[in-house]
Amino acid sequence: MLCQSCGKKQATFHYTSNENGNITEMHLCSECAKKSGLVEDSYKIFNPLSGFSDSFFSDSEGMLGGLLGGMFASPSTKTVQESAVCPFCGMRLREFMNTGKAGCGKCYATFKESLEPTVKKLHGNTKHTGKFPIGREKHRTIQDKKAELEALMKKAIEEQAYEKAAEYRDKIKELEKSESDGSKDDSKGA
Amino acid sequence: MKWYDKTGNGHDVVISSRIRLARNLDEFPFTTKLDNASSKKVADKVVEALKENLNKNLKVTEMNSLSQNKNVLVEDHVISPDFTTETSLERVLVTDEEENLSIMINEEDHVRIQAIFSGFELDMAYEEACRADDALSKSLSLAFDDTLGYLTACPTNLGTGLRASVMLHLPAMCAYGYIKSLSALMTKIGLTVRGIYGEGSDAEACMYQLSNQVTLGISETDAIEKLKNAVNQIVAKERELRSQMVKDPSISLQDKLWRSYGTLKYARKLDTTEAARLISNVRLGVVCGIINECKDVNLVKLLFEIMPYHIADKFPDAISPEKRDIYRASFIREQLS
Repeated sequence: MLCQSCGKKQATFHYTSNENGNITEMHLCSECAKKSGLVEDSYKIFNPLSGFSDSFFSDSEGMLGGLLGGMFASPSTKTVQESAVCPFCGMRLREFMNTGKAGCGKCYATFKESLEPTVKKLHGNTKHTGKFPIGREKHRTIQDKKAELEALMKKAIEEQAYEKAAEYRDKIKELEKSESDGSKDDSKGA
Repeated sequence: MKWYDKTGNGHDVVISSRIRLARNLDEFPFTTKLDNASSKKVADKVVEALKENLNKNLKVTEMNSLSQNKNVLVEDHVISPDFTTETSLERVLVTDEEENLSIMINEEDHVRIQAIFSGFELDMAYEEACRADDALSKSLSLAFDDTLGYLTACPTNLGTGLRASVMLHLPAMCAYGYIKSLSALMTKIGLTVRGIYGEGSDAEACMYQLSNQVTLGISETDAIEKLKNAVNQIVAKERELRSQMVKDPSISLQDKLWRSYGTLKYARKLDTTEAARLISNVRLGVVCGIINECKDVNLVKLLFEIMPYHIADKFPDAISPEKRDIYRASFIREQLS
């Protein structure tokens, strides 16, 4: 991607600002980024959005941290959770915001409220629809599996791969059957 | 054996296909909060799981005891630049014999599985990476949440933890000035275009990397399909422009490509940027049937072998940039003779 300002050099500095919900993206080369005042000579970055005047980052990861920091939840939730500490790794929300990195898997549950809007902004989604680890497949709800198979079947029909579509249809039927069998078993158990 | 020793599908435009999966172990803090002792435990557990469940000959290398310059592996795309930085953590690299599969332990995440193949082989790369992933989850509990998917150090990788990328050689699109609009278009559909070398030089060799951005709410297969569709369209456009270029009645394109060949064949000093640009031109000439003289030379391999750390590794007394330029030119002459 070329620099938005000079249009000549490659953009290596990617900046997202969020002012009252208005998100602006900037893609600049290092020179134009310096000129804009967003980057100092030493490539240290001041992130005006994280709300902490001492938030300087000295590497590219820091840049990302700045972006993420800027994208974290609104000030009201920030003040509520700012002092929150992850019980597993000791990560503080402020640190997570500044570095853009979680300290452990539990951080995502600990800081769930502050993270949700960030995750939504980053991915446009909040629900995983991909692979599950071996042995965890059963945690995946039948509805999720059905939705995935239905999407695959629809795609196969669009591509006129009817044999494949029929395979998916059979799998959906099997799932529906197991679902109704399961509920019968449950009622028996009850 | 390196991935670029082979020539893959659609290699006239697609240089390589890469899949990366980010994984973490549930019972340990992520690398930002990990101490040396725990990082050793993470490495031991991951290596043990891979050896036990992956039916392959694996090479296990502690990064601190690596005899070869780490940056050669970076230039070959076997490891990431981040994996070479100073750290108190125990970093281990696991590779298969052909280096199609490389697993970095204690990079940003506990485990970064990477599969790289020559040509347009995203499915093959995904299958390879997936086998390593299954080998891990068979005996280890991975950091995973039913809603957020695989939990990663950086929230940008949540969900599948998958980065699928292809390296593309786009000299015709470069020549017609299409890269900027291509990049803007790809951003709109959630894909990223990046140069493969540092700032500036990527434009010289016309090598670009196209990869997915979103990892949550899109399945692995859908993300790969989406990338494949975009690649197919780019490949078609690049080929169309190339045939248009070749038909151009003016002799200027042929002149430019042959001059590049001439310079590579006879120059006595070449820096990386110039050499990459010339090799890119010659490659275009060979693929379009204009230059037949070096059609049996693996020019992709040459493109990697002329990089600074490769030259320094091959010629131990190439200590200054100027000496490297001299060795680079002589190495290229040798390859083309």
